[in-house]
Order: sequence, then C-alpha cells, then structure tokens
Amino acid sequence: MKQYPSRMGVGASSILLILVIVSLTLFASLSLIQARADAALTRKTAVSTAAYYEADASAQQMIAALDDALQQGESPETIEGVQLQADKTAAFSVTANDGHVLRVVADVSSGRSVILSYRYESAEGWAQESAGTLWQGG
Amino acid sequence: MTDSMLIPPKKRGFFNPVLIELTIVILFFALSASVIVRLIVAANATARASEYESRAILAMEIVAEQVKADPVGDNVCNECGARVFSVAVDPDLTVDCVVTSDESPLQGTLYDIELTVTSPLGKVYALDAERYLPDAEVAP
Repeated sequence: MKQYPSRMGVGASSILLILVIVSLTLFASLSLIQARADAALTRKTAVSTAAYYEADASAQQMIAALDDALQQGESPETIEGVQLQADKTAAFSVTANDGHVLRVVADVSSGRSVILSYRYESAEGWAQESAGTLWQGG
Repeated sequence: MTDSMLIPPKKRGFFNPVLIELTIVILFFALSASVIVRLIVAANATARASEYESRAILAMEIVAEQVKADPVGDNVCNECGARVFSVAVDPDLTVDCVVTSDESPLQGTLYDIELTVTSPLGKVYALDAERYLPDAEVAP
C-alpha cells in the first residue's frame, strides 16, 4: 500500500494554535472589559441614586422644620439655609454629593409649607456656546 | 538479490517532529484554555453581579417612590411601631422594607423608609429615604 506524505508540515499546527489562542484571548479580554465597564456604570448609578435620596431626605427634614417654625410663629429664615422671598415663598437648596442640587420652593403664606417647586438639577450652570457655526438659514 | 533488497527499510522515527509539535500544541492549548476560561468566568460573574445590582437599585427606587406616595399604607405595625413588609419584584429579587414614623414634627409625620435587597450570593444593597407628610394631607 502506497503511503502518501502528510500535507501538514511542521509548524502548521503551531500557527493555527496561535491564531486560536489570540482570538480566544481577545474575546475573553473584551468580555471582561465590557463587564467591568458595566459594573462601573452600575456603581455610578448606585452612588447617584444614594446621593439623590440623601438630598431628598435632607429636604424632607427641612420642610418638616419649616412647618414647625411656621407653627410656632417663627420666621422661616430662622432655619439655616432657608431664604424668604419677596413673594412670601421660602426657598432652600440641598447639595448632593454627586454634583447635583435639590432646589425647593415652598409657599409659606398659609401658615404651613406648600411645595411649589422641587427640582433636582445639576449644580453647575450650563454655558451657552456661540452659534456662529450653525447654519442660520437663507 | 538486488541492492535495494540489501538496504534495510528506513524506519520512521519514534519521535516524529509532527507528533512532537502536536503534543506541545495540545499541552499549550490546554494551558491557555484554562487561563482563558478563567477570564470568561470572571467576566460572567462580574456581569451577573452588576446586572443584579442594577435590577436591585431600580426595584428599590420603585418601591421607595411607592412608599413615599403612601407611607401610611395599611398601617399595620409590629410591636416596635415599624411597618415591615417585603415586595417580591422578581423570583430572585425581593425588596425588604421597614417604615418607621417620627411624630416629633408639629404639623406632620416624618417617615423613615429603609429598603434592602439581599442577593442570592448574600450581598446586601440598601437605600434610605424619608418622607414628610403634613397632617393636613393625611386627614381625609
């Protein structure tokens, strides 16, 4: 019986192995990087959520203190951080530890606080950029 | 008798280079595969943990807003004066809630809401919220 020489020379399996290993390592690394990025995003979400509820709890306590002050006939400004506006509203803000601020405006003219505005917004104001690069029409 | 019959047939060597290379390749592949499988398992574990944490945070936020909307609820409190209940969001995700009331404000009640989720792996996620409810809103 005639034996045919092997077509696969020395080194072919090594090259194949290198390709397979490089591919597998690449996919495994990518999946690990993606999973870590997801985990980092989840941690940021958790920190942001905790910061919001912490600020919200502080605001609720200040509203309770505001009601107490109004019940006792004291000025809302006796509470630290509360400012009485000209339109008989009391305003205060609670800074969250993630760069946001909770701004609360309450009507205090009726002897108890009635919430008019409860806004959780970025502490940094936004700067309008020049619109010179935009097409203005015509 | 010819010359070719006198020359002994050439034996194929026991250490064939191709076989040696294949053996080395298989061993190296096994070694590499063990490392790569560990990487994939670590990625899977990280992804599952972060996915569970995301769901837990979302579930706690939903329950917190529900409780803040109606902190009194059925008003069934335990002997400590706290309302304790659980909300099953998913088969593997249950939010445990403890609502305690503080009657010290003069014109209302301050409710403290403590939410926890315990993962199947034993990790505990917690979220605290508060809600001030004036008496005028409680009364019908």
